[in-house]
Amino acid sequence: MAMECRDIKIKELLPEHAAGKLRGDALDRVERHLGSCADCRGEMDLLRMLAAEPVPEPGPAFWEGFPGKVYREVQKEKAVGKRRWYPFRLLDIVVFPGWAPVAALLSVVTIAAVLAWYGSRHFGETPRTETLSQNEYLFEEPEAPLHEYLSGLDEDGLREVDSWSERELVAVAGEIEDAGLNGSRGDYSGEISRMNEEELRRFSSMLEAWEKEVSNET
Amino acid sequence: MDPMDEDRGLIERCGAGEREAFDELVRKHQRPLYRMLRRMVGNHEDAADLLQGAFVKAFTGLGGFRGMCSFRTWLYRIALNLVKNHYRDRAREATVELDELIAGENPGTLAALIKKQQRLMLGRGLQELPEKQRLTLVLRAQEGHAFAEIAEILKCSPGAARANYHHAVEKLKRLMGSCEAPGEMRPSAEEGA
Repeated sequence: MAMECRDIKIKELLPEHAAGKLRGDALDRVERHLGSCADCRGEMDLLRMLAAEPVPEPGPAFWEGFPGKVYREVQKEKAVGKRRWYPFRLLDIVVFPGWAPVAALLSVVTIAAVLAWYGSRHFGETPRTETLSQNEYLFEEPEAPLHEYLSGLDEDGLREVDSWSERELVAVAGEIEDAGLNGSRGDYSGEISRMNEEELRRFSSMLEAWEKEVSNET
Repeated sequence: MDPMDEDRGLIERCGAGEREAFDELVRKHQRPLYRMLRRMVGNHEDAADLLQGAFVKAFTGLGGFRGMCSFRTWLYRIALNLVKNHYRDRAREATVELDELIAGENPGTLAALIKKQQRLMLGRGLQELPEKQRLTLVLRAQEGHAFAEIAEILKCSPGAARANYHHAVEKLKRLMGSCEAPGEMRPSAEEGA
């Protein structure tokens, strides 16, 4: 067998040469190269055989009727598509049917993950019991930093925090009153629930600082 | 007019419900696509089914065609995915009909006999190639597509398309070269090979 030729540029022109489409400089270059390269001559023989391989075609009747056949099938598909449930039509917009089972699986996994997250947030808390005394905590000590914990609470949760802080930090509330920050002791749950994350973070830092101060004094 | 612009114009008119534009777009691409499918699957019935399937999918999914590639590239991509499904669904009988056609020929001369054997080997060699190499070789050497378009159809880089083509050619050359026993006659120019 001839030594393998490394002239990629010539090799890439060979299919056009086999099809008789090369002209001008490109044609001259390829013809000159073929004169001295047995490997490329062998490749030309191969490509000519490939290009010359006849493909039997159906007769004129097939071609004349084909566009009409396609048109009728397309109209049928469109009519079926209109009757389908809309979410499945959305899947049909993606041309390749292989997408449909993958999309369905991803949807199921996503919905399951969202439900699991929602369940852990709203059903994993310690339930209220009437046996807890007035001064006992109604919720578990949060494991996350306090400002993160507070920013994740809903209005009921914030109301509980407020009640707790009112009961447990009586001294702190008193100091707030003395300092004139609030006119009178009241229900802070509304204010707390309207706080954004930055305000909640500052509020939790204040509570932590006051708690330290109170525990130091006692 | 640029062929891509011509197709875009026809697609717009199809979208507006013009039947004439629909027929023109089908007639423009039906024969080249049929030839490629026929080379891939080897018989008329499957090629005709796949041809119709490709056009129907293309026209029902025309809303998803964003014009980032030519309509021809998009149509060929759909067709080749159908071919892959076709291979997955049934055993590969791709060369049965073509083999029978070649085997049924009655070569009158020794040169013609040798050529017939070579064509049989070539057909079988093509089927032995990995799918992407075979597709690239068919699209380049038999259908005349440029590497850039082949890359778009097969969703690979132009470099990968070139590499697939060169590997395919080298494999076939080795196969055809190994078929020639010492002393076996090669058809000469005088014998009209």
